[in-house]
Amino acid sequence: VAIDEADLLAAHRRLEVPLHNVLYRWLWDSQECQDLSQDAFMRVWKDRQRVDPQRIDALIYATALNLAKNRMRWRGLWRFQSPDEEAACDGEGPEAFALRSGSQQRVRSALQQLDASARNLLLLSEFAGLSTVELAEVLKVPEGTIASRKHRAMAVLKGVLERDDVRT
Amino acid sequence: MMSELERWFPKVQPPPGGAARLQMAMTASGDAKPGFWPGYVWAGMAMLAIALSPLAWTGPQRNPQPEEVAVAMDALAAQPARAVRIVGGDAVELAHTDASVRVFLVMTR
Repeated sequence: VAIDEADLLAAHRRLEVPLHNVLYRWLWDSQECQDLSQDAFMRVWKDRQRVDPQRIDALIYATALNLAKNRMRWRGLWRFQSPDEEAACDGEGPEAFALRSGSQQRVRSALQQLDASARNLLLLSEFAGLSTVELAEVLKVPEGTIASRKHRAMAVLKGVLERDDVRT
Repeated sequence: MMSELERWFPKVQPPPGGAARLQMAMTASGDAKPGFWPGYVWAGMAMLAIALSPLAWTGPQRNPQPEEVAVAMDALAAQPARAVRIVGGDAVELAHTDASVRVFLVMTR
């Protein structure tokens, strides 16, 4: 049970974009997300003798999310920042970005209403493509509760966003 | 149709160069060969080598018998008999500007 350089680079090709998107909804800074992602991959690399190649994706997600949690604690929890301009989507013009940026600030505020586990469950469900078993492993929750937890998290997020819509 | 999650979480692209950066970091970590001896093994071996190094130095030789000396003495012994006789060695007369002075280089075994 071990991974080699080719395994890790393949995992990076597979996970770079989805992991970046998950981390972005925590840190809201593209460069910081890449730094943290690199850190997570290197930590897995240093422990490669004990890494099961079949579980590498879940391990990288779990490592990166732990690092993100520590980073958030370190930088002062929930300090508000505007989403950075580097995170513009492909082919997106300034007007579209401005609109999305406003929308993203609302989503960001809404995400803050969720606890870490619920937020990670939504983000991983959307981006990571992990199985229910893997989600349970990354989030350290019983496998049978994944669906209900996701439903509850969606309801909270939707409720907050709709409440904001009514206010505005 | 776009799901709610897709609408709330539009996909963002990471900065370029992530793969190259990771590869460089793996190379720079200096332990690219799995199972290679860790640093503390090398440190231990270096300390052992330093501790044992004085034993490798045998010190100056006390009684060197350079071959050149033996050859010179044999050459002296082969010279014709002179007025001065050396037992257990030999001598050679050196030139001197004063004819009344005789200088000998004496060598004994």
